[in-house]
Formats: sequence, structure tokens, C-alpha cells
Amino acid sequence: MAHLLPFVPVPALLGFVILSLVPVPLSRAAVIALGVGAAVLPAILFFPVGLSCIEGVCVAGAVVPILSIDTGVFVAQIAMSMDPLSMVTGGTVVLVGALVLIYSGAYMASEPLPDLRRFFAVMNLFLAGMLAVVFAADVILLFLGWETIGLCSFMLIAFYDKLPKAVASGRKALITTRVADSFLLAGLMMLFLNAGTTRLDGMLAAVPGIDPWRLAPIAFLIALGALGKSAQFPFHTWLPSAMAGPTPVSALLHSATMVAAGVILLARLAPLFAAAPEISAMVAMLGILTAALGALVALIQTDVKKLLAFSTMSQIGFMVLALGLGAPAVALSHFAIHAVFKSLLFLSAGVMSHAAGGSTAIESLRGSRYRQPLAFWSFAVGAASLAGLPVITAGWYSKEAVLAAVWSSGPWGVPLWLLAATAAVLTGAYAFRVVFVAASQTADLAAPAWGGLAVVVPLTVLTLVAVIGGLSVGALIQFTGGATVHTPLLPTLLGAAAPILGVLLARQLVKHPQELEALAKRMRHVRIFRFEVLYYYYFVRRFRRVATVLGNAEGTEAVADAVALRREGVDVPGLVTDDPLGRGASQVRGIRTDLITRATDGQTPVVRMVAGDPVGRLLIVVARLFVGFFVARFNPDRIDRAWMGLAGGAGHAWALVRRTQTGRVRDHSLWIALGCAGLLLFAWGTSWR
Amino acid sequence: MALIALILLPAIGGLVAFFVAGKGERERWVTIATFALMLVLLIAVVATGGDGRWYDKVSYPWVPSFGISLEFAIDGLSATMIALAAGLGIISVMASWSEIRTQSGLFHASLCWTVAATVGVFLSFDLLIFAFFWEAMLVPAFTLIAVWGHGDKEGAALKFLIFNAAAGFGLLAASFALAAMADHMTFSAFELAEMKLSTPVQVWMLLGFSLAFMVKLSVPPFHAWLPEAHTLAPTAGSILLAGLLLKTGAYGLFRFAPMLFPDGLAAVAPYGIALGAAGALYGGLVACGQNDAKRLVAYTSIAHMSIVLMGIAAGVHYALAGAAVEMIAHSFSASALFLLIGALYERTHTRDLRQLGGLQQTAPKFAAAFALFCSALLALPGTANFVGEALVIVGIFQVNWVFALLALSTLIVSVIYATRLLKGLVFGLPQPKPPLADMTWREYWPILVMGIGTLIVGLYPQSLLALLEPAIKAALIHTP
Repeated sequence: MAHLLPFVPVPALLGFVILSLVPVPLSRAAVIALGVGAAVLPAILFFPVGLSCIEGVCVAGAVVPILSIDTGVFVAQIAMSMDPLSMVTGGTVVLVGALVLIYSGAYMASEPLPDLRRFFAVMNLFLAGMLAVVFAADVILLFLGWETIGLCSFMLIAFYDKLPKAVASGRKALITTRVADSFLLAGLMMLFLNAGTTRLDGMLAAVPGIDPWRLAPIAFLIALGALGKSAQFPFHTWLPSAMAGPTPVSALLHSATMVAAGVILLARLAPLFAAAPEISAMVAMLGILTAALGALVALIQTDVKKLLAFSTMSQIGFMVLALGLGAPAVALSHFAIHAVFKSLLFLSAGVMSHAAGGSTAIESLRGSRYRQPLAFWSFAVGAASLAGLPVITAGWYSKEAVLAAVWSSGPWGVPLWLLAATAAVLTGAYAFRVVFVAASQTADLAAPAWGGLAVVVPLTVLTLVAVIGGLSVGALIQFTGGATVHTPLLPTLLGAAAPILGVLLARQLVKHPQELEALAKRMRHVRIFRFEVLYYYYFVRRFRRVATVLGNAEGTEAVADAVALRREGVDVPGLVTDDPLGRGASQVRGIRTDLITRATDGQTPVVRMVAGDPVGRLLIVVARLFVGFFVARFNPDRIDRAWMGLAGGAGHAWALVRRTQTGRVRDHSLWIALGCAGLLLFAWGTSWR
Repeated sequence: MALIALILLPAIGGLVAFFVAGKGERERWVTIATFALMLVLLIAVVATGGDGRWYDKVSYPWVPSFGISLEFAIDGLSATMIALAAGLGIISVMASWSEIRTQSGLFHASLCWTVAATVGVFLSFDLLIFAFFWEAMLVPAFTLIAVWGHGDKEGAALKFLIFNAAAGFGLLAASFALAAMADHMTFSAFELAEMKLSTPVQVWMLLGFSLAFMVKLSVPPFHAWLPEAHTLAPTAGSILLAGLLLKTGAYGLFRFAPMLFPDGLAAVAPYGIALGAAGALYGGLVACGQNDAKRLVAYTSIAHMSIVLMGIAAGVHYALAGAAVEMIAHSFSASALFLLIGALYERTHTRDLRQLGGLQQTAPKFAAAFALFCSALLALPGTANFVGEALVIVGIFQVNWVFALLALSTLIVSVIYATRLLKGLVFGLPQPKPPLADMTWREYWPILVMGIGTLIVGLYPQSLLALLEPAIKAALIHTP
């Protein structure tokens, strides 16, 4: 079935081409059918390919060559891998992609037709790009997909483009990931120059022959690229902003697949990182840092989408941690399980917030259990899986594998494990905070009927996988070439207790809401939590702070636009306050653009100065001075004066000569006499000799 | 004879267009027919196959006592450039169909003569003839800006003329010096290339040549003429300036610097790379802050031409191939963006990014075209620009990794200005108030052709590289 593999991304690409480039008017139903169909077909095409794994076709290093182009400069070998890694990640992407697009068919149905078409076109292009990343066995296909999904991410975050904040968030995401991507490109180029081939397996085979001093920078650059795409510290600020996109986009791109591309890349290049242990250590440190910080910040979010965004950061931190510790198989199993439960969380949160009038504030979800029971219970299952409730959820199995890998990772294993377990407690707390709020009763339970098969099917399938998927974790790890680690009983038990502790904490927080507020307030003063405040203010809100100080008049207009849009029933995530300390940050401040945006819009003094093209101006000014200097020397033109002076002299000469021309007869006779005398004198003189 | 015909055809076509102008659109059709004929002739020349290096090479003595001859040759690089000249000529006519309504005869004559002179530049291998065409192309281009431009068009045209004419002096002086240094006086580049000059002499001669080339390439700090000229020129003028005239600088550097002064180029190459890297970063940063869409694109031209300079200076195989591809890629992307912005200006009478927006609501075809070419501008893989820039950067990695990292940082800047263009034009609330007429077929087809060209070269660079390979091999100064 290997020959089917190259065709898996093709339907998605065709969907994009038809929807965006073919200028044929399509009806609403046709657009939805095309868009959804183009996402479901890859899943159907992938099915036989995945089945062939049972026959043992998918072994480590299995590659399907597609074409080889000798450009004269280098040989570009395009190929797709058919190894366990690409099968697991590819299977996850096609499954989640198909389900999220089915869901979008209902979720986006009320958008105007051109916007709907744009949405499905870009979603399909994204899916094609993501599949290229997942299946790529060469750097060309990999980077092609890598950048395509970055651009699609920008287009989709900026989908509600009438909101300045949405476009600004999209640009922020694209610019931040591009910074990381340029590091990645540098690393890949250096690897290519050292290995002399564009095939990834060839590059990895060449790794042992590369001088360690050269290998470390390469690994460092590639790691930075992967961390940027995966929104890991210090590149993470774009992910919370990215929630300005529609909910299906957040579910597919900014939780399940695109942000995990870094994990896939690190796993694929695992031998490279094994050869550069110091870089692996750095990756692990950044992973655990992001995991802990993300969980901490998620705890005090007031917006469910923002909460899930920080949660994604944190969970990917766990995967990156496992990768840094040299356990790619464990990371991949957590990737697969996380993709399922995180998209489930986003999709069910989308249904709940739709029933709550479009607001994504956690408080407005109150009573969802009665308004939207299916969505609520799906969310609860997703949250349980995210928290990792022992035995009954899939999340427990994969997170347990990560924790086990951490425990047994050498001298630093136990402290790292403690940090990771703390993050797991916090994960339980923030996940169930939303569940408990949504389960509580309110007076207002009138809910608009919304849903249908397009919502029920994805939610049900994802819920089922989020429960029973745990059984496959052991098999997944073995399939992708990892060894099952047997940990002692104590860490296993403690690891199982952590999420339960978290749930209890959440119960307390929700029962006494003032306590969360007090906690947030206390966290500002308690020295140990100062870190969080520092983190928030100096990494997440830093740009916004500066922008606030500098002042920005556009903010109020933007809010007016946003309020008007929400009144029309458009989901406006940008409007939601995102002050972690619950002090009711003004909506105006929420919509203020940050320094990156302002700088890139030419609104800061430095950029304004550069925009004036100082070098070009300087050259012109210098040229003017230069010309002025010399022109002054020759102005008035001295040679011209000399000629003019000559002309003046001629005039004077004329005045002198004219006196001789009197016209009188006596003067003429005098001249004649003088002439004759002169002639006679001359003749006399010549006859002398 | 075919090569001389390639130069004479547009020159005569321009005269005909000038005299038939009047009622109807005769001068426009004459101009299009001229360029189409040029393309046919070019294909006929290339189809002969040639000897592997040159498709055709002719030399007629002109002033033998001074060693001046009509020496022309065509290889893959020249052929690509001439095809670009003719193609952009046709596109210019289509782009100015409704914009240019006064003195249309002179306008189309100027178009033809600009193309004729640049074709002369791409074919000449006698340095004096080369210098003649080099200066000759300024005159019709000056007319294009000064007569049909916007705003302070005379000032912009004058700046363009003064900068380029002054820089052309370096080329002329170095040519004379070279000719005088030969055993018997000759201006033939082929004969001068055989001459063994010491490295310092080569460096001085190269500096003379590259003064002209750098000003035309508009590498900072020699770029001051470009923003005004590009911004204030009519659409067709901008297309020819960005797509063609800038390329003569790149072509000259690509062709003559390694051919005549290999040791000199190797000696100054690090400075060339540094200047290119600084220029690319500078042009990009300035572009980020522009509010005038056309001016923004003009500054991106500076950045991209600086990347070409880096590639030529690096002198390794990857970098030279990248520079050659980037030349073509930039012609497509910059010309297409100028065309689109010009078409938008005709409808809205503004190019201010703050006063525009929402094209994806009001004019989806415009929006799609902008999205495609902004993707090219930010060097998205799959577009020709990415192939060019990535190859240049790989090449620079072989020479010096610090400069390579600097060059990579231009990729970050490019995403800022490209999305700024997108944000200002495509996204946001529809401004000015709809309705806004979408693209007409005369705007649509050129964009489609250039878009497909960008994607073909981007996805299958072999299509272009095979044609350019002999010229690239000839320009190699390092073989690491």
C-alpha cells in the first residue's frame, strides 16, 4: 500500500486549489461539502496505508521515494517516510483533521459565503502542509510544509480580519515562528552542507561523521526552530494570542497538530540530538520550564480558550521534556493522545460557549451541564484525560510514560520528576476548574438548539478515543521503537495521586471563588509565586505594558468595532479580558496592540526614523552639500565672466574707434594726406640702401 | 544577424508606434506585436541549440583602429533576460491600457526604446557598445517617469538620471583604461578577459565597473534614486524599472565581474557580501515602516537586489544559482505587485495602506493575487523567491556563516513587511467604501502568468537552472 502514501495529502491540496483559485461561484452547501470532503478523503486514503503496518511494511527507516531532481546545483530527492513515526503522527493528523473539519461544517455555517470559502480553502491547505511535514523524508518537503502551515496559521488567526487584534495576533504568530524558522533553516542548511544530501535519513547517517563542534550549533539551531513552532519558552507568547482565530482553528492548528510539529521534528531527528547531549539537556530544561509555567498560568486564566492555550503549551512542554531526555517514542504517544483530548476540549468548549451566547469567558459557561449536556460531558472526559485521572483515561497512560521516562533519566531524574508532578497537580486543578464551573447551576438555562450530526459525531468519536485510547499507549510506544520503562511503585502511585489532588484543589477553588482571586492576589506578594508574576508581566504582557505607556488611540475604535460585531453574533475572542489577576482589566487595554505590532506598523519612533530611509537621505544631503560647495566656487561662472569681459572690451574698443569716423571732408582729406605722407616716407626709406 | 535584429526590432517598433499613434489603440497593438515578434525571434535563436556555451555569437568590426566592434553573444542568461524584457514589455502595455491617455505614441515608443536598450545591454560584449546601451536606456526611462509620473515626477526623473548617468562614468572610464592596457587596443570583453592583470589593478577596474552596477542594482547606500523613481513612475515605468532596469545591474555584475576580474572579485568578495547583507537588512527595515504601498515594494526591491549582490560576491555554485534565480523571481514578484498597486490606485486614487483595506471582502481576485505575491515576497517555500534566497544563503554558509546568519535575518524582516502589506490591503474593514471593481482581464492575465511562473520556478527550479547553468559555471570564482 506504499504507493498510496504520496496521494494522502493530495485531496486536501486539491480542495484548496478548487476553493481558492478556481473562479467558479459555489453554493454554501458545495463549499462545505468540498471543504469537508477534502479533509475526510486523506483519512480514507490513509486507512489502507495504516493497515499495511499490520503486515509489517512500516519499519524504522522505510521511505517511499517520490522523485529525484538533479538541478545541476544539487540533487533534490523528494521522499516520504513510511516508518512508525510518520504512521502514528500521520494517523493522528488525518483523524483529528477530518473530525475538526466535519465539526467546522456546522460551526462556521453562519459565516458569509466568501468567508466560509476562504476558511475551508485555508484549512485544506493547512492540512496538506501538515501532512507534508508529517510524512516528509527530506528537508525540501519538510520545510515546504513547515512554512505553509505557518502561513495558514497566520491566515486563520486573522480570519476575523475586521478586528485589528485578530490580524495583529496573526502577524505576531507568523513573525515569532518565522524567527524560529530562520534558525531551523540555518540548521538544516548547515546539516545539508555537511551531509551533502537532502534526504533526512542520509543526513542522520552522516551525523556520526560530523565534528562535535559543528554538530552542536546545528542541533541548537534546529532545536530553536522546533521550539518556536511548538510555542515553547521563550517563543511562547504567540500561542495565547492565536486564540483570536475561530474555535475549530484553535482545535486543529493551535493545539492538536501545528504546534506539535516541533515535537515531530525533534522526534524525527532524535539521533542528531542524541549526538549532542548538551543541546538535548537544554531542550529538556526548556520543556519542563514551559510545562510548569504553562500550567501555573493556565490556572488563573479567565477565558477558557486562553486556558486551553496555556495548557497546550504546558502539555507540549511534557513532550519536549521527554524528547530532551531521549525518549521520542514516549513523546510521540503523548502527542497522539494529547491531540485527541485537546481537540475534544476545544470542540466541546466551542459548543458550550456557543450556547452561552458566544462568550468564551469561563464564568459564562456556568450551567452548560444543563444547556449542552453532550458538550459538557465530552469536555469533562477531555478534562479528565488532560488531568490524567488514573486508569480510566488515556491521558494517564501517556503522561505516566513521560513521568516514568523522567524518573529513570539519571541523576537529575528525581528533581525533574518532582517538578513535572507538580505541573501535573496544577493540570488537574485548571482542567477541572472549568468542569466544575460548567457543572454548576444558573438561573438562565434557555439554550439555543445547536448541534446536529456534524457536532455529535466528532465529539463522540473523540470522547471514545480519549477514554479507550489509553489501552494503545503501550503498543504505540513499542511500535515507535521505545522501550517500556518499569518504574518503582512509589512514583507510579504518587503520579496517579497528583491529578486527583489537582481535582480536589479545583473543587476548593470553585466552591470559594474568592479564594482563587485571593490566591491570585497573594501570588503577587508571596515571594515564591513572585516568579509567576514576573513571568507574566515580563514575558507575556511586557509588550502590552510598553504599548500602554506609549498610548494608542486606535484601541477604543477597535473595541467599538468588536462590540458591534459581537452584537451581530460573531465570535469575538479578542474582546475577552485576559487579566490573570482577575482585576477586570479594561477591555480597551485588552485590545491594545503590543510593541511588536506597533513597531511593525511603523508607529514607534525608532521605526518611524528608519522608515524615513536615513542612509538614502544622507546620500542626497551629502550630494547636495557637495554640489553646493562646488557650485558656489563657480557661481558666478568666472570663465563666463572672462568671455563676457572680453565682449565688454570689444564694446569699449568700438567706442574708441568710432571717434575716427566723423564723416567730415576735412578729416578725410587729412587722413588721405597722412596716408600719402606715410607711403612717401616708406618709399623714401626703402630707396635708401 | 538575429542578435542585431533583436535590438533593432523594438527600436523600430517604437518608431512605428510613435507615428501610428492617434485614433484607436494602434500604438498599443503595434508595441505588443513588436514584443511578441521579439519572443518568436528569441525562441528561434535558442532553438538552434548553440555550442553548449553560446547560442549565437557574432562580431563585426566597426572602428578597427580603436578595437571597437559590434560584438554580440547570447547564452541562457541573456536569453532569459531578453525573454523577461519582452514579456514585461507586453505586461507594461496591458498595465497602462487605461492609465496612459495622453501622448500615448511617445509613451509606447519610450517603452520600446527602453526594452531595445536593455536588450542591447544583455547582448553586448564590446565594452564600448555595452556602455552605449547602458547610458541609452536612461533616456527613454527618464521620459517615462518625467512625463507620465505622479507628484514630483520631474524631480524623481532627474534624480534617476543624475545618479545613473554619473555612475555610468565609472563603467566608461574603467572600460577605456582596460582597452588602453591591452596589447593592441580592444574593447572586446572576450579578448580583455584573456589579459592577465595584477590583483590591485583588477580591484580598481572592478570598482569602476561596480559603481555603475551597484547604483543600478540600488544597493544601499547607492539606492537613493530608486524609491522616488519607482513610487512616482507610472505603473508601466515601475514594472520596467524593477523588473528590467535593476536587472541590468545584476546582469552586468554577474557577467563581467567574474569574467574580467576574477582575482579582483575574490579579493573584494567579503566586502561585497557584507555590503549586500547590510543592504538587505536595511532595505527590509525601511520597507517595514512605509505607509505608501508602492514605496514599500520599492524598498523591498532594494533588499532583494542586495541579496543578489551577496550571491554574486559569494561566488560559489549555490550562491550564483541563487542570485540568478532571485533575479527572475524578483522580476515576477515586484512587477506583479507594482501592477496590482497601480491598478488599485487607478480605482481608489490612494496608495496609503492606512486608507485601504478589506480587499478580500470587496475584490477577492485582487486579494488572492496580493496573497500570492506577498507569499513570494516573504519567500514562502514553493515560490521562486524562496529558491533564490535559500540557495544564496546556503552558498554563503559555505563562505562565512556569520554573514549567512545575517542574510537569514532578512527572512524575518521580509515576513514583517509582507504581512504589513497584506494587513493594509487585504485584511481589515473595507476601505474605501465598496463597490470596488475587481480585476479586469487585462490585469488578470499578466498576474496569472507571473504567478504561474513564480510557482513553476519555485516548485521545479530545474526548469530555469538548466538554462542558466553555463552562465553560472562561467561566473564561479570559488570552487570549495
